[in-house]
Parts: sequence; structure tokens; C-alpha cells
Amino acid sequence: MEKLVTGIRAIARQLRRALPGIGSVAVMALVLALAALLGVIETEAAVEGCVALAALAGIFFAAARFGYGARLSSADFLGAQLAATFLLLAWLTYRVDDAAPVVPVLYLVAMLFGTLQLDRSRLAVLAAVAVVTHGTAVFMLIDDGHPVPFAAAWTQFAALLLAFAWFTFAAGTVLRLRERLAEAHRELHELGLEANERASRDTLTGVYHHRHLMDALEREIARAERVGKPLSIARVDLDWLGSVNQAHGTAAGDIALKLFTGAAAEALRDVDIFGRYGGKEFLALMPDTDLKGAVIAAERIRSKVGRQPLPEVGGRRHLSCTLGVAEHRKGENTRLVIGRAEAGLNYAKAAGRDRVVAIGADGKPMMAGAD
Amino acid sequence: MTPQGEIFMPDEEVVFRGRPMRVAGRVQLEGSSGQLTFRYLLSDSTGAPVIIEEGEGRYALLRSFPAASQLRTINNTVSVGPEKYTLVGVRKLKVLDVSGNAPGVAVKATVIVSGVFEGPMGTLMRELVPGAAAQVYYLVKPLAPGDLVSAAKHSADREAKGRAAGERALDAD
Repeated sequence: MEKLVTGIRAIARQLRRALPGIGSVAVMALVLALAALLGVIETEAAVEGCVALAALAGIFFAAARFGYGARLSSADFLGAQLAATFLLLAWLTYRVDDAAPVVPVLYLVAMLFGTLQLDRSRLAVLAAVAVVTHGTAVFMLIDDGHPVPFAAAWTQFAALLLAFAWFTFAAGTVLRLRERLAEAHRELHELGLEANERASRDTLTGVYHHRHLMDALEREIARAERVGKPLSIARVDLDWLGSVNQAHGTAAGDIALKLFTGAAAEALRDVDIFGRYGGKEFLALMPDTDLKGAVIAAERIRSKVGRQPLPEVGGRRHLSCTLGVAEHRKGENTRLVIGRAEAGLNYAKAAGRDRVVAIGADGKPMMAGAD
Repeated sequence: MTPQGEIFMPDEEVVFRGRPMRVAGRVQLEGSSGQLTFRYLLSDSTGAPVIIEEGEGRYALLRSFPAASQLRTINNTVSVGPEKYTLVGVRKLKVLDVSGNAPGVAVKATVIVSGVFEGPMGTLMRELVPGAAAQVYYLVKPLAPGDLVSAAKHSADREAKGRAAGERALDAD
């Protein structure tokens, strides 16, 4: 089923690529049919033209479908399609000589598609191709002795030249507008990404906030279960924040929090996720890390945080933090794994703070280290 | 004796330190002098559950220890790693009502004995049911006013704050 959907998507993508060419061919066929219906050209000539146009459309789609068009850029591919269409129109002018009054309209239909997607230089080349091929066809008609009214032919030719010149000029404007639109779209996308990033951050510390952290933990648990890799977490608490707030004010507490989060985040790897669980409580998610590795990482956090200065409180001059570490067990949800890490944290706090306690496979707390 | 703090009903929405949570369980206890104490188990969809005790209008966070932690108890002292906690009081609590997921040892007990120990790192609580081997330890952390409020009160407070800020802004003009 998935293969079928992928196949359909691929065909739709290829069809989209061939659509400008096929679309212009379809419009031309409709114009021919209308001309036949109104008696401007013979029905036989219109049918012949439509068959030729359908064959051309088939060739465009086949080129896109079987990857020949993929070797060219979209603009080059469209350019090739239009050049082929102009050749076909020239052939139509010559082959069905009473089609002459209708054909200039068809050139304009084809050029309109080009104006929407091609730059000036490509369109100028295509206009030259159209002028040359159409001129050759008309010349061959005259040469073969067909009764071509000169005044009408020259007027048509001049009208085509002027229209092509205008289309070529307009193509530049359209292209600039398209580029501006694409740039605005890109900027909007980047702003959206930035807004998302800001919305997932804690305003004071700049680390991820609770909701983002929980979403990330759910994602990491699902990934760990899927790929069979370990996942460990650490519940981290900044020690003595209440005392700092009391002794030096909340502004000092905020500075301590910033220093703490900066140091803790620095101690972790790029793939680890660190965020604020609430208040002075933080959580570190360590993908592809077993309990042993997580204890080493937790010790690294503790050591790095311990080097940060603290406004003196109760004889302490450096920050410290307490950590509870647990490894995710198969089938365990976010609440259970956080609960075990938190139990380790509580034990570490009761045991004197500024230490790491890991919860082993048997559920027993293991003191990792303390100064 | 009636409790002085806000009483929460099972399944009530509350806000604990800014985190929206739900009362998943409640135990109503009565002390020897008739004072009422409530224990709440708060939970949300993702985070770890939280146990709160309310007594005499004050809330305290009961931080549970690892299930398999074996603390050394000698006479009236409990040791957690290098830290020692000394017994300062014992409460005998009668279980009056249990609803939802009850925290701790009170699920099927009628009476629980709660020992309060003090140490340099704060207060430790040890609870057991007379006659049963199971015992539970908590690190007790008093909550600041406003740490736990009902969701209704929380939104009313926010609204009032917003109104006050608006009025201040108007006054400043």
C-alpha cells in the first residue's frame, strides 16, 4: 500500500513538472477545435493539429515520467517543451495552410506559459526560435506557390514580434515578483522556526521549558524502544537557591539560575536535552546512554556547576547541584522514569546534597560521588 | 477541628508551582488531638506524581525515596548516607477516608504511625502501619504560600493581577 502511495506521489510530481507544456498544448488543441467549429479552419486540419499536439504532450509526459527531463532544470525543461511546440506550430502553419490566421494566437498561448516561469534571456531565445520557425513556414508556403496575402502576413509577423517583445519584458517583471515572493516565503518560514524555538524556551534561563521537555522525553522513549538503544535521564536541582534569594534577593537567585543552567548545558552533549522541569528543578535527557554513562555525565554536570561562583551564603562560595539518575526500562512511561530519577534525587538531597544518586536495576539507590 | 488550608476534592484541577495538575487521590487523616490532615496525590499526564500534605493551613511537599532504599535506623536516629536525622516527634494518624489513588502506606490501614526526624538537610518523615513491615520515608519540604492553589483560584488571581496591571497603566496615563 505504502509502495503504491509512493508511486502515485512520484507520478503526480512528474506530471506537475510536465504540466506547463501539456497545459499549453491542451489550450492550443482547444483553440484549434474552436476554430474548426466556427469554420475558420477545416475540421480535418484541426484534427491533424490536435493529434500532433497530443503526440507532443505524450512525449513531454514520457520525458518527465521516465526521468529524461530530470537531467534538465525546470526552466530548461520548459524551454525545450516550448521550443518543440513552436516547431510543431511552424509545421502546422505549413502543413495546414488555412491554419495561418489561427496559429499566431497559439504562439501567444505558448509564450504566456513561458512568461510565467522563464527569465528574459530564455524567453528572448524562444521568441527568436518562434519568429524564425514561423517566418520559415510562411516563406515556404509562399515559395510553394500558396496564395498568402502579403499585407496580412506582414501584419501578423509584426504583431507577433511586438507581442514577443512585450512578453519578454513582462517575463523579467514576473520573475522578479516570483523571486520576491520566494524570499518572503523563506523569511516567513525562518521567522516561524525562530518563533517556535523561542516558544519552547524558558524565558529566564533560555533552556527548554516543561512542555517541550515532556514532549522530547516522550519522543526519546519511543525512539529508544524502537531502536533498542538505552535512554537515561537526570533530575537536577540547584542547591540553596532559596537561601540565595533570602540573603541577596531574587535578582541574585536569577543570576545563580542562569549560571547554573549555562554550566549544566555546557557539560552535556549536543544530542542531550536539558530543560526546566519547574522552579529550580531541571531535567537532562541523555539518549543512547546507559546508567553508567549517565552517572558519568551527571558527575560532569555537578563538577562544572560546582565551579560557578555564588554570592556567599552560609559559608558557601560556589554553586552546587544534586542529581538523581535513572535509566529508562522497556515499557516504562515518562511518569515512571521521572519518578525513579526523582526518588534518587530526594535520596541525594537527604544524604547531604551536592551529589549524584543513581537508581540501579534492583531499585536501590547508588551514591555516585560526593566531595 | 477543621483544616485551615484550601481543601481539594478528588479529580479537582489544581496548579502546583505553575504546573496544572489533577488531584488523583486523597487521604483524610485525623491526629490524636482531633486535628484533620489531608494528603493529596497530584498527577499530570507526563510528569512524576507529587504528594502534598496539608495540616493546620500549611502545605508540605512529601518527597518519596527509592522503593528499595534501606535506611539505617539506630535508636532514634535515621541515617541517609553520611547525614543523620534525629527523631523529634511521633504522630498517630487515624485514616478517616481514602479516595482515588492514595499515596504512601495508607491504602488499607486504619491507623498509621508517622515519625518526624530533623537533620541538617531538613525534615525526614518515616511512616509505617502498626503490625506491618512496610515503611515509607519522605523528605519534607514546606511549601511557600501560593505554591499550591486550585485552578479556579489560580485563574482568578491571574485575572485580578491583569486587572490591577491594567488599572496601574491607566493611572500612569
